[in-house]
Amino acid sequence: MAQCKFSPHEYIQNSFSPQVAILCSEDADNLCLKNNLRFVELIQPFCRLNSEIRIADPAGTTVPFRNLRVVFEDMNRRPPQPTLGKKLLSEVVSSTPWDRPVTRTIGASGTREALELELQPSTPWFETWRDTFLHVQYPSDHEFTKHYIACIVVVAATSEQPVEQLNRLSQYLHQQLHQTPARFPKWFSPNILKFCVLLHDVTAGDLTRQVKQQSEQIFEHMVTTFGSSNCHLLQINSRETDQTDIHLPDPWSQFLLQRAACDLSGGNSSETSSGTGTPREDVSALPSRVIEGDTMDTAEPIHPLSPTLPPTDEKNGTFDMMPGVEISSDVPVMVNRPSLGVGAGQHHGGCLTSSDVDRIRIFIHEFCVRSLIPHVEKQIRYLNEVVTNRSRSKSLLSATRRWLVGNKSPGSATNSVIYSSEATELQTRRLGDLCFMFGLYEVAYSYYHTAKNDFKSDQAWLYFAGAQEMAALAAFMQNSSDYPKRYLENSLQTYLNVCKVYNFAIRSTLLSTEVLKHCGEFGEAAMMFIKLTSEESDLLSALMLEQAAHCFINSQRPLPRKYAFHMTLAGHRFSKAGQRSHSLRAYKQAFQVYATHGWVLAEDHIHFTLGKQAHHLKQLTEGLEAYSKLVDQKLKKNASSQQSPSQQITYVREFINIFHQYTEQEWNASLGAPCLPLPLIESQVTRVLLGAPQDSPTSSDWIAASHLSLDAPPPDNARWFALEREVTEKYSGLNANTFKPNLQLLTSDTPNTESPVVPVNEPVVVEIIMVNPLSLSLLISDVRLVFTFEPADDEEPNDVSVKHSTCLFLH
Amino acid sequence: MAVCVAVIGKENSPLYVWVGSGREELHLHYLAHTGLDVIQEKVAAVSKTPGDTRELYLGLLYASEEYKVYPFCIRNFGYTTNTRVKFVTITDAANTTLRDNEIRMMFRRLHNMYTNVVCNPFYIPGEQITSREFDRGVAALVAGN
Repeated sequence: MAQCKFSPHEYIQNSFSPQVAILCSEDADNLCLKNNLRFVELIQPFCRLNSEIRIADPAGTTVPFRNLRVVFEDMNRRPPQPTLGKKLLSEVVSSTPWDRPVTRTIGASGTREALELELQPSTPWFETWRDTFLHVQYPSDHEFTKHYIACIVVVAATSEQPVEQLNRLSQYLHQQLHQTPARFPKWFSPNILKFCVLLHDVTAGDLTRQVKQQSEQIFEHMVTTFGSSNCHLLQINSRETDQTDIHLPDPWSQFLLQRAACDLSGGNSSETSSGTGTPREDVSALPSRVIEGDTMDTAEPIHPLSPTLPPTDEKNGTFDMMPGVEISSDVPVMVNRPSLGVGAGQHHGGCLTSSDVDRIRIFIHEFCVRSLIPHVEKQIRYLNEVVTNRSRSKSLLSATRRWLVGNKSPGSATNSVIYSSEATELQTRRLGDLCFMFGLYEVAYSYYHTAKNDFKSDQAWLYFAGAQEMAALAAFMQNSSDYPKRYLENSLQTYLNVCKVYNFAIRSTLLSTEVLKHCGEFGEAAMMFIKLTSEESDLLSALMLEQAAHCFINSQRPLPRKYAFHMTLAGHRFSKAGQRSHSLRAYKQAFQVYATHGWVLAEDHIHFTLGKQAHHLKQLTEGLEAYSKLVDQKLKKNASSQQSPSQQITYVREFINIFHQYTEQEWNASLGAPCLPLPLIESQVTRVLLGAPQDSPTSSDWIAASHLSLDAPPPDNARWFALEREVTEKYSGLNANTFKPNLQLLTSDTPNTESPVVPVNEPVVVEIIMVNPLSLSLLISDVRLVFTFEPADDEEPNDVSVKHSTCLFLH
Repeated sequence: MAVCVAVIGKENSPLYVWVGSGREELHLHYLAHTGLDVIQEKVAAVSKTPGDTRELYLGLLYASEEYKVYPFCIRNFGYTTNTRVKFVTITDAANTTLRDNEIRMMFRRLHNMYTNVVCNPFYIPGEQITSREFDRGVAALVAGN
């Protein structure tokens, strides 16, 4: 498939990054808002560690691990409702711009089978869709990679009583951790890492030294309460807002664009955190929030608050393509966050100097190296102990049970097994997840493998599928050429057929296709993509079909026709999903394969769809072009009979329709006359008659004194010329050699190199033969002869008037 | 027994496409066209392994949910070129009584008919086939007698 931003290894690592929750007091958020950023957003660009870190595995040997990425999330963020999530995904796809296609030759060049195709070098909309898809998923109980492993509590030094606030927040955190029944947010284990950050505003602090000392005192206090490795004093806002220096790079904008849509969905929940600053006992029980959530759900696709978007029709496909416009329309929805504009024009980090940025970077690094990693190592050791102890005592039992139960295959039972959160099987899985997230793939594989077998013998299929999938991925991350492929297929099957959890099936497909593509098995990957297409989600099906098409064209032996076929299908699903511009693009790319090979029916179908989509997108020129090709019979070889008359009527009607719009809106006189593809003009038989055509005399006794008429059979020119020559020689005395016969009727047979001479005010009649290749009648009215006048050097242009009034039927 | 019979020229443009009445013509056209990929693949595989080059029948191309696509690839062993005309038939997947041999026979008859068309001195190879005789032949062929 097309090139991705990340290699499969990076992608898998990114998909399973450790999650850290952020609990931020209102004051602290307000401090960050001076930069148009919330705290979570502020640290977003720096959440990847570029340096190598070392982590100890359960045996105690340290293993290097590069590119650790930690995902920081607002603790109160909830994944959006499924319906809202769908809208979000659709918006993300429609708002992602794409690159220009690149021409590539498919098939051995020089042979007849070689095809020049314009292919999409990358599919960024798919990648953003993929990221957003993972981002909006609800964390599940059968895996722990999406559960928060740590929590950072942020308070501001400038607030009234930071210490008290800190205590209140950590109390709230404690409550959240031990709530029963467990709700969102989900925690990795009851014993998570707590980390405190004291935000110190330098501009406020510099005014009086007292403030700075005060915040240092507070920090001292924090250190004594929470331990020195779990606290950090972060100084930000080193300069005033008004001295904006826009030359500083803005690392936030790209993250904000990505997350803007997600923030919109999380808007209702983050509002609860920043709205009051005091933790709420039970967030979901508050009526105000529920109502707001509801209204957002229903009002979202129309954006009633947005002045930029007109009321849309039934589909959300009319969303503007410009990301900036779309995002600015989001702003009014976030009522409680006044200055949180994420519009493209707004500058972020206005109060931050480069040393501030460095400080944030150091903070993240300190957090990871000095507290997160030791915490994780401790957890791994602890869990390892638990697992080995219990499994030793349990192994005999489970072996007996396995022997009794026998080897059953999935499909017989549903997910009836429920584990308590401290069950050994889950602890094993948890341990595996922890190792996987921190790069200990080899260890992780063995844990996953154990967990997989346990789950299988318990017939907990969802758990089984999850562990199996992760086992395969862990093996792949260790050694990309040799990994258990059937594990991936198996777990996908289990997700799809036994557990019917489609979201996990989709995730599994996304991951395993990456793996397959890395191994060069494009056909397999395409089959996996195709398996996921269903009637339910058009957008998903469209994206999957498109990726499958890309797989076909990129396999070792490119399959251009399969590519085209699946692109067409993808285009169809895109249009059903309301993604008109993507649909247009897909059809266009598919058409390249069908073009010029005489597959008229397929060509017509694509042209018709192209025209329709372009028309809807108000790209009249393109639409007109497509429709012209549809009715233009010159291009089709002997094909006019292929379409039924009713079909032809539809085509012509659509063509006329768009042609009218085009001439009204886009066409202007400087472009010259618009060219109609119908009817065909037989230019070879055009005849020009100089002088008025003679009516044939009413009385048969008389004959007109002209040899010329358009109806008469062609005159015997040779005899007339001889006569004319005789007359000319006799009366003007010109030499016979210079004589030129005076042509009156010009056809394709006469020598037309000499310009004929016509007396002033004499009419010129032009006969044009038109042919209608369609099997329906066309009414042509208001026909006009368009001509250009080229004056000779010494002549003044004369007024020429053209009379015309013709109305004719063509059959 | 077939729902679509297509004769496809050497430059992958259709010379003749017959579609059973009441079928989705467009869909079948798409399917026949997609089959060309597999033909190309199979032909390339055959030409690599020198062996029985007289076997022109390529077997089942692929099966979709509704249809099975059978290909057949004529390669005339001429002096300098081979004409690379391809035949594709699409049958209902529900029709399980069809045996490989019958399909093979069908292709052989189709091949004969095509040869007759080419023998017509007024027919230019590579043009669309407009022959009443051929129409009749195909109609008889798909009717299964």
